[in-house]
Amino acid sequence: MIYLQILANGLVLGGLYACIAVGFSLVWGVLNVINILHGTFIVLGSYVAFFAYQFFGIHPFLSVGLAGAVLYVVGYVVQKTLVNRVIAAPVLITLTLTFGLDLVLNNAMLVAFTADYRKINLVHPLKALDIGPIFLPGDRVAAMALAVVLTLLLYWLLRDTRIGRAIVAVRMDREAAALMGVDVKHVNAITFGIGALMAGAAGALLSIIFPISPLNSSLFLGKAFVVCVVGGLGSVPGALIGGLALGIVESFGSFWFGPEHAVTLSFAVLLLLLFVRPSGLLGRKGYE
Amino acid sequence: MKNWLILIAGAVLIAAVALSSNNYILRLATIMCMYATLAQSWNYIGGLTGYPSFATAAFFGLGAYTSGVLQNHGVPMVAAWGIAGLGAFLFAGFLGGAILHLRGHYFAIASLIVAEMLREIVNTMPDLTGGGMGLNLPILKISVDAQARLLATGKARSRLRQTILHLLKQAGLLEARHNDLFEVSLGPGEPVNAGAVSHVLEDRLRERIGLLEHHADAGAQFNDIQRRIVDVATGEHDRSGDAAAGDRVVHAIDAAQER
Repeated sequence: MIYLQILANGLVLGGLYACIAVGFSLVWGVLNVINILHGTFIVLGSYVAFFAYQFFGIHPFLSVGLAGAVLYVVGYVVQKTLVNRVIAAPVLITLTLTFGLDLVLNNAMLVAFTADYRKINLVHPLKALDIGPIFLPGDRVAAMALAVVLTLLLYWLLRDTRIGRAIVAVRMDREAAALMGVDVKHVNAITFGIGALMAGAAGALLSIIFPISPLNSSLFLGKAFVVCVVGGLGSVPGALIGGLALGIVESFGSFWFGPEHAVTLSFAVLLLLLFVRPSGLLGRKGYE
Repeated sequence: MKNWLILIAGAVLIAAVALSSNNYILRLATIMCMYATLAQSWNYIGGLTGYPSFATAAFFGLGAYTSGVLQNHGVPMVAAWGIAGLGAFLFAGFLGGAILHLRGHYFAIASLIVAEMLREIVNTMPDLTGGGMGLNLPILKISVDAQARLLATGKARSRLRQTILHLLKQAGLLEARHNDLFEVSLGPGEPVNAGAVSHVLEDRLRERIGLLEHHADAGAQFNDIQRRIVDVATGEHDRSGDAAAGDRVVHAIDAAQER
């Protein structure tokens, strides 16, 4: 029966991982840029939720929108002014740029917010769910549900809206999309903005579960890597499945090997998967 | 020709740094040389082969920990260095076999993850590696008797030999077989006086200092030299960027602040 509980924990964690990774995956798939900033964006979103709760008493679930909006603006500006300059450059250049920007932003956050771990303790936490053998904290389940809803919203956006189709078109073939009248630069900036928005929203959701500190950014970035590689690049359903898979693997891994090895285990899974199937579980070959 | 001149000038400069007894400059120069080596290490994979590799940090850390753990288990420093280099070489060889078939972003991520993974492994093995607290190398472990003998040979030592001896001392090589080593370091024709207590030594300022006879602790008189030994061996730990370092402080908000 304990396995059912572990599975449930894994699924709850996995929904959040999916939300962490989907924006990262989108930016990677469309812009062909590995956004090292993603982890720091997530932490920034957490801080938005934290301060909104501390100063204005806004519930973190409500500040998901606020954090997303703030991060969308940050992402849009960063892409338009900096990343756009090197968008067609080799991997190393774009990677080095986001890596450097991450150092700058992360250290600015260390200066501004200190490295202390903060935590939001809700005044009125939701009741825990007690379904037969499974026991789940209500806030976690709600956060996970919101994360999955956000992920599905992004899926809908990409499938059924004008800008979504433009993003997918740019992803498939940049030149052809430009010839069809798509403003590629604008779409690139919007895509980066949406990626940052998802990071900020995920950060706001995570703020009620995980401690908040700039030092956590590499942890979240690592999760995004793993989920992306497991699920395949730039695919929303892939990110969802990859996230749930990672959540379950980590959950069972911490049960069998101890929680301190969970991260190592997830990285080992990533390396193994890269070794045998670089395009991911749902990825298509030659689609990079 | 010009390159050779630059090379020779660099070598002379480094030798001058090693001979000057300024610990600050020595440390600075050591770090500079270390970074140069590190950059060259990355240049092989990133520059010459064109792979966007982030695994250099992993090899660096692997070497540091291999050598540190070995030295803490009594392996001489120089031997530990060699084993560390060999270990990193083998690790990189196997790693290359596993991930070099990846291209572009995937290789970058795989190499980045290798470094992160090693860090996690190090953090989860506090018994061996000190975990987030890091690893301290033992400072000079040497008996008072050995120190006296070490100082007694000071007169015959040249400056350069002194530097080498400092390295050897750190390695703990002298601990076990100091007599052999002294004879080696002294060179031919220079007698080793076993009754060294009344020796007159030249210190760093070229002032002649006589040892007090029948002093209880011969080593303690040469505070200067003692201090230098300690300085050289003391490691500085910069863990400001380490997520796992130290205690974690959690600021809880118990209630939303009223305005």
